[in-house]
Amino acid sequence: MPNTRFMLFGMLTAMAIVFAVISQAIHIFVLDTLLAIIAIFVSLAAFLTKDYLYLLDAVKNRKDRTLILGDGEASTLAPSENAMVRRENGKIYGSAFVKIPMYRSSTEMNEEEKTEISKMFGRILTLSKNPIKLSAQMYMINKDDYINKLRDILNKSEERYRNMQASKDPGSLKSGEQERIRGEITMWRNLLDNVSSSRSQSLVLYAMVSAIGGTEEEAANIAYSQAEDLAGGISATLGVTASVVTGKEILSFVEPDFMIPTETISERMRQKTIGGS
Amino acid sequence: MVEMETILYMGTSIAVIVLVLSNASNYGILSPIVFVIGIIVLFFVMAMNFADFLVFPFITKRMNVQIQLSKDHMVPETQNCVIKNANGLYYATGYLTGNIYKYVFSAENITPGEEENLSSGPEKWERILMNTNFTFKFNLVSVPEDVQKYREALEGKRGYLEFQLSREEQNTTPNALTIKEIERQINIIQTRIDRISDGELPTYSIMYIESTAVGVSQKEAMDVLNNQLAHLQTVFNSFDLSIIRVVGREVHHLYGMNYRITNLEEMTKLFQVQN
Repeated sequence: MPNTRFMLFGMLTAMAIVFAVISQAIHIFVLDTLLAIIAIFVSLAAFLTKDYLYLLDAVKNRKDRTLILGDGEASTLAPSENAMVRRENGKIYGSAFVKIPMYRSSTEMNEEEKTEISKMFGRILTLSKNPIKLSAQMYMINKDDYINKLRDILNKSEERYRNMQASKDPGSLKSGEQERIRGEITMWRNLLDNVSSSRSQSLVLYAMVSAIGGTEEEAANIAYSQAEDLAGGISATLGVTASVVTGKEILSFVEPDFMIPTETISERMRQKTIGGS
Repeated sequence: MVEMETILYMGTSIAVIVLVLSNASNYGILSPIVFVIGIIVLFFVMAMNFADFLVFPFITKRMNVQIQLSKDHMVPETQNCVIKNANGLYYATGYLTGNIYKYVFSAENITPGEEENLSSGPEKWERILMNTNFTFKFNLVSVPEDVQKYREALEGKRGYLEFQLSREEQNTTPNALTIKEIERQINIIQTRIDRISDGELPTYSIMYIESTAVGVSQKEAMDVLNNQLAHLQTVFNSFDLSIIRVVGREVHHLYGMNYRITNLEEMTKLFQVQN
């Protein structure tokens, strides 16, 4: 890519110079003007190759007012589920993630320990000869299953209550069964409201490494092996058990819809709508 | 390397324009047109070089152009976030610069109060977490540099500073403040050299804060994101950082960094502002 960029820049600059020189050599002012204007715009195009060459393909593939840089998936989970794989500019990147479990709070540390922990993070960055991304991510805990369970129970209780009302069973009316179920419904509804409306968040610290490979599997495996080395280094430096993340958990580090679970969001929005109306 | 490249690109473009303009009399009655076009392009080149984060979004906004980065990922015309459309919801992700280099690596910086900053860091961080109730990430990307080259560059700098120091000391009226400042800089460089000698790798680093907001429409997600980023700007102020909203082409590249990290050459080119 840099070579293509330099070649294109060189060609455009040479063209601009040629146009500029010719515009001064010919003494037909309309032609001179035209060549001069072309030279100016070609030199502008040459300059734009510095930072904006990557948009050239997007301009070619545009649809209406949308420039399309890529229409494939941003990234996919490798078949071995040990890394994410991304294709970009003809290269295949594999990225693996190391989870760093840090459960100590600064309130438990003395001044010296606080300074030391800050310095240790600086040291982690110099552990690998490959680029590293160290991230602290605050994300929403996935309460989907819990919310779904609560909603199922609530639905069943409501159904029981409706059935009881429809049957008009004198026995149940007498024993206060209806009152009991109504109370139960209120309880489950309050619990669901409470769980849905409160935001449950968690903090995770992770490191990411990337590698280029000839195939998706190769890129993923190289990245995974780099991540394993890094996990070893981090464990030794910080005194924790850092581990390489595998499976769908990886998605919560890269995809926003996994960072903020849909079900939790939709339930919160439903609550907001009910509360607002 | 990067600066040379910038000089090369900007210099040649300006040279061609100046060459054309220098001969404006050739163009007869059309010379004002050439002149105006030349001056506009000249300013445009300078603006794109020094403030493309203002010029590029301005153009896309005026032309109402969106950029699709990949399937379901779109950069709106404002060029200040990436929108993902999934499961009928819109997720807007925006970025802030958050270069805490001085803070994290203040072991190199021999100024009073730095040690205190370093020890208060974890507490400040926890306070930020307590005061934030939405999704965000603090990212620190580090790319190792060539040890030998880096060391040579540091030794070169140290040599130059030592020369300056000896010149200042031999001066008939040496300035105590200047001497102190030069000594401080020499100390910083010496500490870096010592750290490299101890086996640490010199690194090029980029730090940025990322936040994601969700909404039922693109506008709602973007509005929530704006609020979230404004909140983060406020809470991260305790670190005394220079926090700026990232807009323009850097948004495209930061989005890419979610999925893969690139090499040193590309990194220095893409994010030279934060270097």
